[in-house]
Amino acid sequence: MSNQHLSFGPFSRRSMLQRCSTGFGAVALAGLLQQTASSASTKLPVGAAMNATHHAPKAKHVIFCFMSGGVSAIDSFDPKPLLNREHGKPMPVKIERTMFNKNGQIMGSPFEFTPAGECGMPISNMFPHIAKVADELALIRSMTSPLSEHAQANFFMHTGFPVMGYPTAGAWAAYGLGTENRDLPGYVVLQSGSATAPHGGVSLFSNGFLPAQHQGSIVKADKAEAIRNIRPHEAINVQRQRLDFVRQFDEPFLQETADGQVEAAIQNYETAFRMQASVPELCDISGETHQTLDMYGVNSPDVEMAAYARQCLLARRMVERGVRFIELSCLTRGIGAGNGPNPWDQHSELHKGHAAMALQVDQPIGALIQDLQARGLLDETLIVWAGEFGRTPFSQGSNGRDHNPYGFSVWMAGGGVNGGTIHGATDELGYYAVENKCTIYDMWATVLHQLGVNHEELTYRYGGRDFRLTDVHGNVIREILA
Amino acid sequence: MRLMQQITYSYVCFLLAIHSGYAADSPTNEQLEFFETRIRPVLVEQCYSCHNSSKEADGSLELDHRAGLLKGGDGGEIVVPGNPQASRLLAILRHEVPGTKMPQAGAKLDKSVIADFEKWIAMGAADPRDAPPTADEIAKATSWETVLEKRKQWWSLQPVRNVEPPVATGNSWSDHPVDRFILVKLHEKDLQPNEKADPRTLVRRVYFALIGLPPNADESERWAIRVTEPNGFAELVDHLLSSPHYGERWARHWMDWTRYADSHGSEGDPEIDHGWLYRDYLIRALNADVPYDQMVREHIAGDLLEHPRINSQQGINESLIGTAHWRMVFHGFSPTDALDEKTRFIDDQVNVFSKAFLGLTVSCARCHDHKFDAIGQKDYYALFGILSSCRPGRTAIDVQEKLDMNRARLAELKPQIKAAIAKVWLKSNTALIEKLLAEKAEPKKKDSGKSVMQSWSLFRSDIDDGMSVAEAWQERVKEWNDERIDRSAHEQRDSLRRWRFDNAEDLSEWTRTGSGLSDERPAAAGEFAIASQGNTALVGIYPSGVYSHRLTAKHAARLTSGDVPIDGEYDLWLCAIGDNAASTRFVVHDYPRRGVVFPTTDLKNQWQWIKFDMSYWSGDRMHVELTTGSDAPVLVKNQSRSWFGVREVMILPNGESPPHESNEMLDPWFQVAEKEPPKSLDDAAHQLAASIEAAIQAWLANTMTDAQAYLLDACLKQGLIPNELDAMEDAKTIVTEYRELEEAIPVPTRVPCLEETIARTQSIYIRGDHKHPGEDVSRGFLSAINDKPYSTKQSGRLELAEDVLRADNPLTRRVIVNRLWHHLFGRGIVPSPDNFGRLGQTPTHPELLDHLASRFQSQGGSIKAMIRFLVTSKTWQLASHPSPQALQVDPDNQLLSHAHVRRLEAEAIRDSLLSVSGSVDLGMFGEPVNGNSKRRSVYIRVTRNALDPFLRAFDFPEPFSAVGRRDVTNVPAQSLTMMNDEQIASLASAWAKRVLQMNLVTDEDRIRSMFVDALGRPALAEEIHRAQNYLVETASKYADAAKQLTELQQKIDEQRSAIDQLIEPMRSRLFADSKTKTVSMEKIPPKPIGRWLFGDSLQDAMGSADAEVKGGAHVEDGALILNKLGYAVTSPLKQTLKEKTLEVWVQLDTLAQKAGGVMTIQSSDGAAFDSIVFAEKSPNQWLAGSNNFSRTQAFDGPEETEAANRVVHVAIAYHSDGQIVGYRDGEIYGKPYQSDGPYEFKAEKTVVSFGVRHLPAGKGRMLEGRIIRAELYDRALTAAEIKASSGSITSFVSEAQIAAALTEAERRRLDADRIELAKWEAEFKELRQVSEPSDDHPQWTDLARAIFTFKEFLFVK
Repeated sequence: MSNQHLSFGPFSRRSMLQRCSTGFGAVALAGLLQQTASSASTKLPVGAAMNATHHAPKAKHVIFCFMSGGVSAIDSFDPKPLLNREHGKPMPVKIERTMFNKNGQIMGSPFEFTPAGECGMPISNMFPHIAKVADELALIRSMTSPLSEHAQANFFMHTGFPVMGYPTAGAWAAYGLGTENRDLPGYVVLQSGSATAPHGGVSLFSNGFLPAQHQGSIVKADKAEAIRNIRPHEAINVQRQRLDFVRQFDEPFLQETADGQVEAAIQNYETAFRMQASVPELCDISGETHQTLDMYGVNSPDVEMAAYARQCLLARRMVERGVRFIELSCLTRGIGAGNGPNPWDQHSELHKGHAAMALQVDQPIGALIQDLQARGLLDETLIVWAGEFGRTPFSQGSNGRDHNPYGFSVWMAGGGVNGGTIHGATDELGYYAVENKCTIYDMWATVLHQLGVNHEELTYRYGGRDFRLTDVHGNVIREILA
Repeated sequence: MRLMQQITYSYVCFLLAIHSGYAADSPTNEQLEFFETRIRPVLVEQCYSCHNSSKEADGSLELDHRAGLLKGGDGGEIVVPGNPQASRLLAILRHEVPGTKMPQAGAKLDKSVIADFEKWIAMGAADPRDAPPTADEIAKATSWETVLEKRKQWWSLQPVRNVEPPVATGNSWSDHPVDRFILVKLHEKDLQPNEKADPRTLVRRVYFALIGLPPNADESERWAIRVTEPNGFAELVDHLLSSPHYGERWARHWMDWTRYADSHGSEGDPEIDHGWLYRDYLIRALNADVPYDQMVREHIAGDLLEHPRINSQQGINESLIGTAHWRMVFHGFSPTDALDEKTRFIDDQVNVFSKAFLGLTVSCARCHDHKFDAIGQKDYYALFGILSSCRPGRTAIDVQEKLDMNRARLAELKPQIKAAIAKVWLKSNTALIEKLLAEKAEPKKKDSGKSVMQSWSLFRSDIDDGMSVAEAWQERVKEWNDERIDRSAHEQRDSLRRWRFDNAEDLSEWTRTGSGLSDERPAAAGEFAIASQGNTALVGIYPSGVYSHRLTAKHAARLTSGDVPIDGEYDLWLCAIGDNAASTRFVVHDYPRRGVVFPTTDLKNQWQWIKFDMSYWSGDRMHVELTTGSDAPVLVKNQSRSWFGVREVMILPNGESPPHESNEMLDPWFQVAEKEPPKSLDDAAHQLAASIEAAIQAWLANTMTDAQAYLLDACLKQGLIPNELDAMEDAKTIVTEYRELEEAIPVPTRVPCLEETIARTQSIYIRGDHKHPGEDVSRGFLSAINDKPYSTKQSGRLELAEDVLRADNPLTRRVIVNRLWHHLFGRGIVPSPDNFGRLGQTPTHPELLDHLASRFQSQGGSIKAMIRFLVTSKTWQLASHPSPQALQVDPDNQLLSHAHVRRLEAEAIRDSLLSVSGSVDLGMFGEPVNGNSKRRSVYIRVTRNALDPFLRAFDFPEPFSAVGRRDVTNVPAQSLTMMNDEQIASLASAWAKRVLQMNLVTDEDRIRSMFVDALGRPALAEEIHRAQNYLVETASKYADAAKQLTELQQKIDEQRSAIDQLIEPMRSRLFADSKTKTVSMEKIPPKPIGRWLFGDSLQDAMGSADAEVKGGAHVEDGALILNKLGYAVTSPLKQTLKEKTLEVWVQLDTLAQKAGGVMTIQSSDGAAFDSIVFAEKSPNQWLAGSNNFSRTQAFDGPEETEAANRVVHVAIAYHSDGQIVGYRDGEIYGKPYQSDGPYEFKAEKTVVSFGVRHLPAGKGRMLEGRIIRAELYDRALTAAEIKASSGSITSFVSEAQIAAALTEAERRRLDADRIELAKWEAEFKELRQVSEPSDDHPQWTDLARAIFTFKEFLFVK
């Protein structure tokens, strides 16, 4: 199912109408948003469901660094000195149900926090490189999720619904805003090395009921066949010859049927043919300087870091080429319960596991932010860093932490957020969000807002109601915006 | 200033002018009537609830009286009487004001309604509402009852009318009712129906529509002629409708409606075991044209029907299988909130059911009354309650006769067996006493007298230790008395709930499923089970309780308690027994999966108290479940025989002491002896023997106590009474008969379904939040159709089925005929087949829809008849090319002046590829298959987390909701698949091969044949010409490439030999220098088929199976370096291998490692493999590893001690007779053994890997070390051959050593030569990859691939 879906080429009005008449597009058009553009809005490319953004956008691209498995907030971005003082003592409040029900005592953080950047944001020694760009981060310490199980929480994080079948945030962005590069997908999920889809599977990258070209295309950053079937197993001239031959038969068929779908399908082969060149070109980093490669860690002896660095570097290359939404995938180190789909899931060995996972992503993400900044792209690129939930302030077993959806940290950078801000707070033990509680709906409402989209207005009629990424909820978190 | 005044004045005048008509209190009667009929109802229905003067006025806007309406709200005026242009209301209603689209929640008012408002404003906005209504009036006007009444006026809720087909003036075209409806509408727009499609188009169209497969060449030839003759087309339709493939095609449509899936999704994605039987059921039912009503009834309540539909051929109850769709839900993994999960999966059921069968989105009413349709929130929970009264379950579908097969006879034989065995036992009393007196077993003091023998032994040893008989006896009696006190305390113990299964009343609170539990009454003490094989007679003798294997462990059985609210912290305790994957658990809110907080315990064949700590779930509801392996709702472990028994279940406060472990087996003995204490050991032995004899007598007389049953069972298990059939002649004869009969009983086939328990009243969840229950709601149907609550004690599914099928239900038949229409015409009369509500689309031909619905109903709901009726209309047979007028007037072709061109569905594309290439396997039914199978696509497994990528690319839907209309998208993944997918390339090759093997003489004939195969039409002369040219051009390109390859190969060979000339003398010299004897490599017979030298690459020096490193492995200094994370794997082998030898030279980093594979041959997915493995079963030993050890036994060779310090040679030869011989350093390693191999590894589907036991790579399979060289042979080498081979490089000369020995100049030359060689090799490899023909007829394969991508192939016109 890891597919690549692009929009098709431009068509005559006739063919467009016909396509609509035969099922495809009928729904898409019914869902078209025909708001009158306000003066501050930006015109969007052909194929976007919206004619123009609802308001002036701050960002054009999103890079979603998804920390699958759940990063512990209290060990990374939300210092809780009380934890270390009360280490080994029982929790003073009632413990909510946990996945594994092996709840121990309060567990101090094995990591150390120091203030970073001019803003002085405390970041633990898990993330020394990210700490260097602390002044770019807008940190939300009061994120919450209603779900404490991976697959459902992943679905919820990606789609706003806890089950399969709904469009994921990237699909919404690609649907609403279209793509600026017709030879590349609008929504890409990068993987490399051992990275796999999180729990819930590739449906996490689904277009749901939105048109299929908005489905996340899995691009394997380090594979010769970066996209399924992108590689011809034959000489390109032989393939070109065949396409031309086929064209000789398709043209009369199009004449005969006068059908827009047929026309689109013919175009589609040309798009696919071009993608065979554009995708390898995208993935070919031989033109990058040594400095750049070293900054990201592409040649790191740490296999996972090198693989993740490659994703970050490709993310930048995609931003340069106009890809709308890019999701990055962590690789597992097999520590604690952290497996392929949930690498951060340290139900045991939290210190070792989180340190290893942080090592994998820290330098590459730090480099990505710096590189985008240096190239003047950070302003138009919104980076979202989040796991599906956080981890408990009390231990699971001797040295792990269970899932904690009641209060955890996520951050954004670039794309018009106010770097160096901290929004919301958890209680003294980092268990519950207590101040300016945020929801994942709020997070996506904010992301859409930065993209120039009113999250309440980007809707799609399906199965008896108008759906949106934020369901019937969500408030833009204005406090973190510049 | 003056100007301003003037303007103001004019404005006032203007206002006066337009108000004057009204201000003078004289709106005309027409104006008022217009308001009353067209405007007020809309205001009341759409606006009052949020904009009123008594309760809430959103945006300060009051629309319930004239002044309020004219005043407007926060945004200012919205109505300017007489001036529609200036009236913002109209823009708001037209959804032109961002953020203010009314009415709320999206549904735009009908254009005609907005036009009414415009007209009304233009006429002066006459409005007689002087005073606002009272709060009561508002409440009444906006109450759900009022709204519902209004909404019931929606077209789809109106009765179905039996509309006569209209007569179009001057219709000489067609008498067919469908055509008459169509023609009238066409005429209204001055359109004419297109001409009829040409015969070949028609044949291809009807094949795909009806059976989803293309006609083969013969069929298209034959039918193209036949359909031009009278009745020819009808004959073809009948032919296709009677094809078994019809059912496959239409079952797949149906599976879309019910979101068919083979797994539950989420983390773990567990299989829906035997869910595919539902797919087979659909195929059979559709082929048999089972009436639609019956199928719907079966879907909803097939398990409850008084007269189910029996398939006598297969001996199954078909009706029951229909309910499986209820179970195709998405299940989360181990939720911490189980009620949330339940709420979600029932919502899934309600959603799919209501969309599929009623075309309504009932789920939208989960949180509040439906925003648009006549569905109240109570309606939702009325349906929800029906389903929440059911639990996930599994049921045997075999007919009763099969389930009961031999039941009566077995029941007759059991007492006979009992009698025969008892006879033997009674005779063996003397032997028993002797046995007791001879018993010298050492007692285990610690356990005290926990069994008969234990007690007896303690008694004896006390005497042996010098105690008097009386004293020793007293000890035992005391212990027994203590136990009895504890036992009686246990009897009195307080508990939250307690069920004892020695009484029918307690059992009656439980739900029994399966023929193993058909008795309403528990078994009395003395129940026993007969072993199904071997020399053992009885499995056990049991106290009173519930047992699933009273006659056979093949019987299905699941026992579940009623719901228990856990209102505190409790432990669940069960006294149970069982075997073969039978298990027990407590089930929270019907969640059927396992998880850390959803524990399950497998039962053991020995009585035990099992404990579950339920404190985590305090505040929730649970039930208890005991089940055989095959009858668990999700956690299925299929076992042909599996059983359980249960005696008692209790719920105790968390952490309290466990229930008492009863030792009542001592009662019979001690009760006898208590009255007359034994005076001697002999005396005691006689007393014990007598109590056993009494127990046997009681067993025979069916008067046994539980204690006696325990006693006999203990004697049986401890060998005090014989249990060997050989020792009981008479019994053996009867047992043999019993076993034959038992063996003949078929293992029941189970399907996922719902379990009926006790109906429960469901409460509304306020705003859909399961944590906020509101008022209780009776179970029932949609009140808009039937508002009478259900009073049944069952769930109400039977009643639900009847409500869906009520003759006056206006939805059911409209929905199904529309679905059929959609699939046949490409677009429904209602274009939104799953939504007949306000947000759906309205019918283009409402009268036709009603005509079809009533026809369908009156003709008994025959789907085949309806399909036949529709496709035999002229409308269906129209050509697809649109006329210029049609494009102008009806660009969407809503009026059907021509046929819609349609892209084939994913399944039809795949099936066509298989069919045209001649590869298709048309076998029907059975377990799901993988995408690479040659079966039809309907049989491909639908794994939620891993849907088939080919089908997904072509819009196969994600299984999460009813999909009546698939998307038809156009994405590059489709083109990329068709262009580059290797499976498609190989189908093209197969097709080309087939064509070339046909008895055709000229290329022209071959091209013709291919066109007919693929497109169902002959090729035009011009097309043939083009294709011929293409063949020639392509062939010459391949020839060029081949020439280039040959040239390159030559260069490479030359270069290699130049390098060899440089280094071989040096290598030989170094070998000679080393002390070990050497044999030249080249002289080793026989030739391997693969050889990997790891010089500086991973090339296969013999064959073409080059390897590639994965993870952290790499080649360095003439070795493959493995660090436990990386490994290497080859491309697929070109030949099939059975007999074989794996041979490898390896050095380990450390001996302290486990289970790493050195060299492995395996299927591409690693499911089958043979491997040289180090230290898997025993430390430091070499092992012939294989999948699940299926060809593995220990060689028991010596422990490896050297491999960490030097290179060792290890080989394993797999002989054709299954013998497996291991070798180390050329000597046989340990003992050869016999396997049932050798396994056949298939060409192109087999790879060799190094450093991993088998794929996929993962923890615990990886090796740490270095491989110097590896070889693969296609035969089992002899010991002598291996010896010879092993000697070749026991002394290993590395490339580095050679390099060091060369002169500087030589080294430089060597480096340069190697760089050159590497360049050519790379070039060669690349060229070979893209240009080497995949077969010996590449130009034909290319033509086949081209035709596969013809749009004419992928579309139906």
